[in-house]
Amino acid sequence: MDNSKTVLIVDDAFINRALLKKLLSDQYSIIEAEDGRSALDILNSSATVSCVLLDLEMPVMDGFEVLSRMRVNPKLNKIPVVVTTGGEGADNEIKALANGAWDFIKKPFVPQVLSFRIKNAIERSQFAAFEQLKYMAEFDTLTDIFNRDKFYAETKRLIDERPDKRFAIIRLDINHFSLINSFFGMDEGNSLLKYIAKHLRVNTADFMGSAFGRMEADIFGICVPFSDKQTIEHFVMRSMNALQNFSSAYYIVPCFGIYITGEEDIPVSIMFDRATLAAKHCKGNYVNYFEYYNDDMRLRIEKEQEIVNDMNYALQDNQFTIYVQPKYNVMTNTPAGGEVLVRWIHPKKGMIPPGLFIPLFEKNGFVVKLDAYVWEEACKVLKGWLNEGKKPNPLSVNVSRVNIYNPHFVDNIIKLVDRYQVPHELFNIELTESAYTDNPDILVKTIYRLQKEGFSIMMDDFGSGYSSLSMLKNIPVDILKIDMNFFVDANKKSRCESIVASIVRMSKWLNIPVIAEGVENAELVSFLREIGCDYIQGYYYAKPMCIKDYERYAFTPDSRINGNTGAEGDEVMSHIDEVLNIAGNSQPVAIIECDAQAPEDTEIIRVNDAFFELLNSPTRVLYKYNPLDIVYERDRWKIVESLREAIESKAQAECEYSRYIAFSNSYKSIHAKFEYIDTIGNKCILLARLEDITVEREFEKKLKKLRQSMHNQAGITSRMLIVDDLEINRETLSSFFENRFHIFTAENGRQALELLQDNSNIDIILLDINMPVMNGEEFLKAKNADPVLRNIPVVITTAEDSPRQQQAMINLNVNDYIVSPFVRETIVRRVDNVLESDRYFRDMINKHAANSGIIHDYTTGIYNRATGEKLINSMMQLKAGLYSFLIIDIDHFRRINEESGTQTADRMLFELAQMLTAMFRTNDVVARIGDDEICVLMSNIANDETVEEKCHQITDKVSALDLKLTESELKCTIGAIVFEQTLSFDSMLVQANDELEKARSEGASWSVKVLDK
Amino acid sequence: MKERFDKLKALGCDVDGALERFLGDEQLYLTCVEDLKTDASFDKLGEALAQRDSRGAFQSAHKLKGVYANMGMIPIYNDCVKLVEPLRSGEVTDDMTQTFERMQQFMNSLRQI
Repeated sequence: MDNSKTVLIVDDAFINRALLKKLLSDQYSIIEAEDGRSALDILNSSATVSCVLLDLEMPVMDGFEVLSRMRVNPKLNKIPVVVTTGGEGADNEIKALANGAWDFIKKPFVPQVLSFRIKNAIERSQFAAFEQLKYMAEFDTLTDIFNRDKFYAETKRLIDERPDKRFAIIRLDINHFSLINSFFGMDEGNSLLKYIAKHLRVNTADFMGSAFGRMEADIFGICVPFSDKQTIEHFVMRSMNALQNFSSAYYIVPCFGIYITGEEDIPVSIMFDRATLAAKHCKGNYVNYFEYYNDDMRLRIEKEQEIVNDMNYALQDNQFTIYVQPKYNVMTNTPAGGEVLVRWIHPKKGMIPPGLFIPLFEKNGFVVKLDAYVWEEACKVLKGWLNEGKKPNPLSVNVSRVNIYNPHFVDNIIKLVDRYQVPHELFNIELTESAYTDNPDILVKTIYRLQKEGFSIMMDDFGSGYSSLSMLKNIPVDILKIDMNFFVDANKKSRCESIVASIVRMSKWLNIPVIAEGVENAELVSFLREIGCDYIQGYYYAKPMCIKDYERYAFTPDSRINGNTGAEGDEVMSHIDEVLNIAGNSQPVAIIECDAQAPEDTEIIRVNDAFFELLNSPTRVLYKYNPLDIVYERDRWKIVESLREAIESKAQAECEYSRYIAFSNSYKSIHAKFEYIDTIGNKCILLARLEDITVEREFEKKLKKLRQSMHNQAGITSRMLIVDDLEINRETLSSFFENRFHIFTAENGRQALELLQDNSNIDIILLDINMPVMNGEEFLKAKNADPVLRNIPVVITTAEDSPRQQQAMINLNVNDYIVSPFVRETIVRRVDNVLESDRYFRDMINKHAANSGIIHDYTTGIYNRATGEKLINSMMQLKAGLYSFLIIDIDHFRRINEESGTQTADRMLFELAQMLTAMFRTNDVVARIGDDEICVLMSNIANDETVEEKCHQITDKVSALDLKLTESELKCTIGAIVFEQTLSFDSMLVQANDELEKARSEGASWSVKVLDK
Repeated sequence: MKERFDKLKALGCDVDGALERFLGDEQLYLTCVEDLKTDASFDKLGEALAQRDSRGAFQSAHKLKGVYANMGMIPIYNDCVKLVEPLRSGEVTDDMTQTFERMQQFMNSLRQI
């Protein structure tokens, strides 16, 4: 019987053995032994014995000895032993049982009893064995809790039993558990695991129906019913605390990934996978040590899987294309090649961003294939250009760090580039710094080889890794690339700037050019220029583009970025930078270069942003052209003349001309001031300051018409006073006007004043500001204080032309200013304009006076309301550019009136009016329109800021008014409007009043509103 | 065969009872009888008693006791029993010799069957 169990009969009496054999041989296989020793030999052999029938009294080794030997032997201690006794007493039997005998049988043998006893013994042992197996099948032997399969099964059971309930499947593992084993030994690690198991038992005890088990290593699975997040989080918290209490020698950082069951019917193992996904998100996160699974995690994995599925086909199908992002040489401002980047155009998903697939491909190694593809495409493109006879700049390709480990890498590259007959210098290689940290030796060797073969090596993302300095020492890179995004951090701006500047400086010492990548705004560009960075690559200039666009871009000779023609002399450049800096962006400025002998051969090499705005240009790219070409033909000679003058005098020249604006298909009138900067070779560098005077031109045209009609009145000889301490200036100016004016001159302010005492009918004064004895400002103050002289228009002459100067002009209440060196045309026109508007103005007044008689307000001495209204309406006829209408209201005038009396109040008004009048120009209309209200109309102002400034001035002066007349401080509120269109006086009043109210309600001293056209 | 059984019965053996134990295997029973005739333990018992070796005597007696019981040899079994317990406690008494002689007689008779 093969399957039968074996019984070992141990008895030294032959008869007993024979009898027992007889009794059992039909059920069992029998082996016999005469004594204990041979019995043990048989048992230790490979024979499987299901039961031992053991006689106690035997020579050599008795039954008790056999029992004890069997007991300590783990292989034998599970085998049932039935002891045969002589029936001599309970003692033996008890002793036998105590020694591990399973049962006993008395002699004489009763067959059935014998049979049953043995059968029972065997079955019991089988059951035990089964249990053992079962246990091992279901339990983890170390921790005594469920193993993985059992845990899954048990969890499934729990879930199936309660379909209405939700469960939380939690994956728990310990971060860096292997370190605990390493540092403290496996015993400590095991101890911790057992502790965890024990704790889990306790922690889950409160839940109705839970399961937990050890999956493997330090990974535990837990399933508890889910009612709300708080409960789960408490559970997690308790576990956390328990873990912290395990050892004081080290931190135990657990990681809980939690999956909450939902509607989906998925196997428990998948649920556990999802919990694992969630756990990944809190790896290395010392704040969050638990994380819930959400579908995004799965979607991301699925997406990644999709990408991986598609990648091979995509490569064959040419779904990957190369784009190029151009680089610029910042010193010469010319294109300097480009970086090759890969793009994936998926037929269904569209453009897949590289950020999504590159890391994935690096992980799974596909990047090697992709890199090879990109390099080949780059070679194809370069070859194509060479075939067309172009002279391309190098293209740089990225090499992922994985490739460094490929021993054939260098050979492959060389083979590839040679196959396409591309010169090695045109194929630059970009490596990233992280490749260095991986294996510096291999990298160094690889780079040496490549350089020997003539390839230039760029170190990408320099500074983002950990080994920059040693890498620089060991690896002979040709070019460094710094990613500006890495360095630009709003909070640490100056620190970043210092670091970048140092790197650039260091690179210069090492003779390594630097490319700044990721440059996105103008501020960065100027910073980089300042510190001497060589190349720039970034969105500010150009985004990565497809090959076709790049070809158009790189090979068209006219494209450049704010460049010059490679003039050496950093000094010149920095001087230009300085100049441009000072000019800022308030005024359009251009650096032009022209031939010293033939100034008509000019070129614009650098401009500021305001220049582009003047031309209404949508891009910031300068195209190479001769600017004269777009100047109105008749004006071209003027520019050439001015340039020549500026060059020859090595100073300034100015002129006006009309220029065609392509964008709006119109002409603009430009006033240009050319300033000589330097000469390099046979080229001169000049600075051109431009001003859009289109509006003023229009105004002048109108005035001209008026002038024509005015000049029909014969015999009026105009008188001009020229005040300047320089004789040459006086003479120059005189020469301009002597044919039309009677010229008076003075050397300084005092002289001028004296002269005016005797000759107060001067029509216009040309006044120099900087004079000894009494300068222009002081003179003006004196002049304006004198009611007789106040109305004489003044044009100041100055050497400076700047916004500051314009402001000063406003402040001094002069009508205009001219800049030396004096250009005849300009000065004459200016003077004429001033005179005309002034004359016009005075004619108005005279006419009005003739008509109505009373023009002044008695108390204040300024125009009364009626006159003011008439004058203002007339001024509107002039359409003189930008106007401003102000209403100045004295606060609490009635109170002052009551407190101090009418006379005092009137006196105060008078003072006020005088002061105000002195603050405005001769053709500004100042009139009293109410008890405590004075209005002013200013014509032809620069902008609304002028008005703001004026308001400021007025309020300041009003407060400063020394009254001695009243105790209370004098205050005023101003409401002003700025407008271009023709308004009626009433309309102006209403709107300015609105502003006044607005100012009052806001508690402000003034409010200025610019009206829409 | 039946003859022998009768002789055994005449000696006082419970042959039927024994045969039951032997599941009716007469052949086997007779084989065992033969074995018993030459069993060394009996002689050993005598020697041990003569030498007043209680331990040795006990072992032999104890062993024989079980065999006699299985064989249904009541008379010699009973004698054996008389010897076993005192011997177990280490005594060797004079009347043991007497008992052994009786056993000897039985054995002699047995050897002739």
